Amino acid sequence: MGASDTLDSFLAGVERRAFGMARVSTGDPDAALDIVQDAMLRLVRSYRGRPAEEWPPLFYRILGNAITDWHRQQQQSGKIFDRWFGSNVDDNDDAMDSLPLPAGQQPEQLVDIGQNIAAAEAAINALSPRQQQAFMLRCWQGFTTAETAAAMGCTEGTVKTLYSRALHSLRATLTAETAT
Amino acid sequence: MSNDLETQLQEQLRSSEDHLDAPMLARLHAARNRALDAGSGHREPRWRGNWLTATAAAGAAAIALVVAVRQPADTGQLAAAEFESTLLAAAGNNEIISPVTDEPVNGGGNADEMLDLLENLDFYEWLSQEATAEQPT
Repeated sequence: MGASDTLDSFLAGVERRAFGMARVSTGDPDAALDIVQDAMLRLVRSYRGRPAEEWPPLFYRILGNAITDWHRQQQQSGKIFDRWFGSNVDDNDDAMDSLPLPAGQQPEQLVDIGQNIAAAEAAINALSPRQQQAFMLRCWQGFTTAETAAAMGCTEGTVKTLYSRALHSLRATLTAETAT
Repeated sequence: MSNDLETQLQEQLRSSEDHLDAPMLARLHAARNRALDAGSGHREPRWRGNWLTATAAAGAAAIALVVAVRQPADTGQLAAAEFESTLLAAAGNNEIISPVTDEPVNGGGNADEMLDLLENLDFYEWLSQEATAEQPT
């Protein structure tokens, strides 16, 4: 099996998950497809000569950066739009962090929450981009804290903080969804 | 993973990967192929999709070629072979067509004169070389 075949196999193995992550984060399938293709292209161009075991963290780092860039562009567009039309929307990315965890909720009550994938995706989409990245790499992809830190280009402590905040927000949001 | 919420979300998110529709899977497959092709340098995808650029470049090259061919030589003389072929054609058609302008050349009407000219072509070529050799350097 040649290098390109190996890379093809790697990309074939991650493309669905990468697309899912990008789609959940952006809420736009077309944008997600562009992001995934761009991430694939960057990996092939810059890292195809690297050992195959280095590809996963590299690929997810590229993907995360591409998603972050997309959010920045959207934020810039939103700011321009707000400036033109006088919106007073607060752009605080970490607004979800301030939501309190509903008192008296037990983990058992959360069991059925995951069955509503649309609600879960909406809740993930409401996280800040960094929290999304930490959550998706740790929970969805199954990276360790160290692998997630390598993929995100930050310390393990930062990953733990971001992941903890993400879980806190998701639990609060999804529990509230169940209660209504 | 000990947390129920994490487990539930992981299962749901991973199972969602298996529920992509066929058109989206085809688009993903095509995106992967494009990335591999472009990234490995086997093909240049910008040319593949941009037929307008390629057509414009080909058109510009064709125009440049036509202009170059139709440009008269600095000496105002035709190459010997080209001149000979022109005379041969004129002998048959009773007319000389300029290879430069594609227009009939004035005074080129008589076929007999053209044949005489053709027979003496070696003489005229020798004369031209003599004149060139006598020019001061």
